[in-house]
Amino acid sequence: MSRHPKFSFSRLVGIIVKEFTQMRRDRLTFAMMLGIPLLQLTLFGYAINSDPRHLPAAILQADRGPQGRTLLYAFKNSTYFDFTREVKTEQEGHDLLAQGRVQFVVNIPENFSRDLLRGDRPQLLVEADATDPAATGFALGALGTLMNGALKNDLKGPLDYLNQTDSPIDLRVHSLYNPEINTQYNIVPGLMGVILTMTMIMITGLAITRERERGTMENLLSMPTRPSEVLIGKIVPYILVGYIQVAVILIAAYFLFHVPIHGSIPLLLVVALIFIAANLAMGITFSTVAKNQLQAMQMTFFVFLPSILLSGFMFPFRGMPVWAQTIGEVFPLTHFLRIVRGILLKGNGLYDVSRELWPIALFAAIMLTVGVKRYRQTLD
Amino acid sequence: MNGELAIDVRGMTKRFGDRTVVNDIALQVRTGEIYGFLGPNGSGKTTFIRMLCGLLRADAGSGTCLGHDVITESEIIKRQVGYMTQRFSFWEDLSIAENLDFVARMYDVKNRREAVQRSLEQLGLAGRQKQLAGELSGGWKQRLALAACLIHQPKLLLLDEPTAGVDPKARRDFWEQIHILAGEGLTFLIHHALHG
Ligand SMILES: Nc1ncnc2c1ncn2[C@@H]1O[C@H](COP(=O)(O)OP(=O)(O)OP(=O)(O)O)[C@@H](O)[C@H]1O
Ligand SMILES: [Mg+2]
Repeated sequence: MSRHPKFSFSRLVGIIVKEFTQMRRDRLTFAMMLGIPLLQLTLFGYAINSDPRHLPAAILQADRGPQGRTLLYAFKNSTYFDFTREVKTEQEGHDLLAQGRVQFVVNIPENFSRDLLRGDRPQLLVEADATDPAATGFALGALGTLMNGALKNDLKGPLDYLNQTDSPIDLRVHSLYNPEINTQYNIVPGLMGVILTMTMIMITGLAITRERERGTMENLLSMPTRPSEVLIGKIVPYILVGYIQVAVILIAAYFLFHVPIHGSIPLLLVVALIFIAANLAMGITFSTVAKNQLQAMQMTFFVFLPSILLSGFMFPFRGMPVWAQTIGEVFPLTHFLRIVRGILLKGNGLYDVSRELWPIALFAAIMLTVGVKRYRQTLD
Repeated sequence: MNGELAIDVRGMTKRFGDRTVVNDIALQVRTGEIYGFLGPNGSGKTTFIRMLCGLLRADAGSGTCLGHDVITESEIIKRQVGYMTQRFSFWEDLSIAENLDFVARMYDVKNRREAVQRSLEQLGLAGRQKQLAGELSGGWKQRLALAACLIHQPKLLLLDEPTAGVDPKARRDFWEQIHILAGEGLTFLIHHALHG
């Protein structure tokens, strides 16, 4: 309706300076932003277990004999493994694991059936992505019994003696990325996402409602500012706060919990920037909708709870029902968790993380657009 | 511009729910005039002023403010009007200088630093520029608010009960200021509650 002045960079800077100064003076909030990560890091020392099934797996079947097929069939029947991919080389399998497309690669080598019948104890190699031990633990635990049961029917009559030996197959399990099956390796990088989600949404959630409640909104609106200037100006200073939290968590992860850092820290910082921006944008949008600070807080928790429950932080993502996974895919936290674990534990590069990155960026863009549209330029 | 109308509105109406707070008000103020607007508490003075500067959407009415349409061109009007709110509405956790600097940036004031310095000196706030706005007494807050409204050199000042709760000496100083400014060609619309 009313003609807007053009977006002004110097006005944006003005708002950033103002917000930054106010943030600096608000010692209590600032201390909380540092205190929350430290508190949560100490609290989350233990893991939550569950028994996820239907985990995506890839099969590398080089054996042509019947026993190899029997075994594959038994794997499928256990309901722990869904063979979604067939690969021709070990490298292909490794790539799928690194990108998180599969949880396991089952490798049945050439001449498996022949060697089995000769009593040569052929190798069966199972490689698992163990970044989240809770997700793989049960499936791996079931492997031994599963195999022996499967081959009982094939190893009969004269071959029965093979069943008597401790195991006719030499099962090799490689837990990749987290060989000691350490749950803290999984939880601590995950905490980075959880803490950022909580604090970033909350801090900007209060941004506009605070101006309303203090009566300063009337003044702000009487000046020729554009919604986008106000909203972006209120987001930018808190990116710094987000980065301080990332630094605190990374330092604690490395020195206190000895989480390995295999990937590139600069890449992690770039991803974190987009993730922080997405959460700040969500908060500021809540702030434009909420009538007062209490409502803004309630909205924060309304999003925060499903985020941590459905993102794969609390429960292994692949153990959840499909509807829950679908909802989970919407939250930036879900994608960020995969990226952080990927970068820290697997050494993922930009290519590997890109397919988790765009949903976060899209989310940020949509949120900011909604916020700008919702921002009322009058006091009505 | 002298002799022209700075404010020329008619039929201005505002309803909150089913309560009509401002009903069919017409007002003409000539450029360079100091116009007083009196009314008892709750009569809709603040609501009327907010409609003039685009902070509230009028339910009915039309007209111009500084030659621009009050309904459709409020973004242009905002740039040329100074509005001093009834309740102190600057940032209490920013210092006097920081508040003025922020306002100057929002209006894209040229030579911002000098403008802030000048306004601090004019209003006798130079010695206190580092003080937080929240720590000021009522009289000083009012001086700050006036200084902030003037920093972008508006053509029209809308003052909503500017001297409420201020001691007689400060009040006299304030009116002296207003008269000096009016002599420089500014238009004033000043709202005040009726007493007694
Ligand atoms: N945003 C709003 N929503 C609902 N009612 C409102 C709103 N703003 C003002 N009112 C009502 O409109 C009436 C007029 O309010 P307004 O503030 O314009 O009066 P006023 O003349 O400025 O009074 P005062 O002298 O006390 O400042 C009041 O009864 C008030 O309760
Ligand atoms: Mg009033």
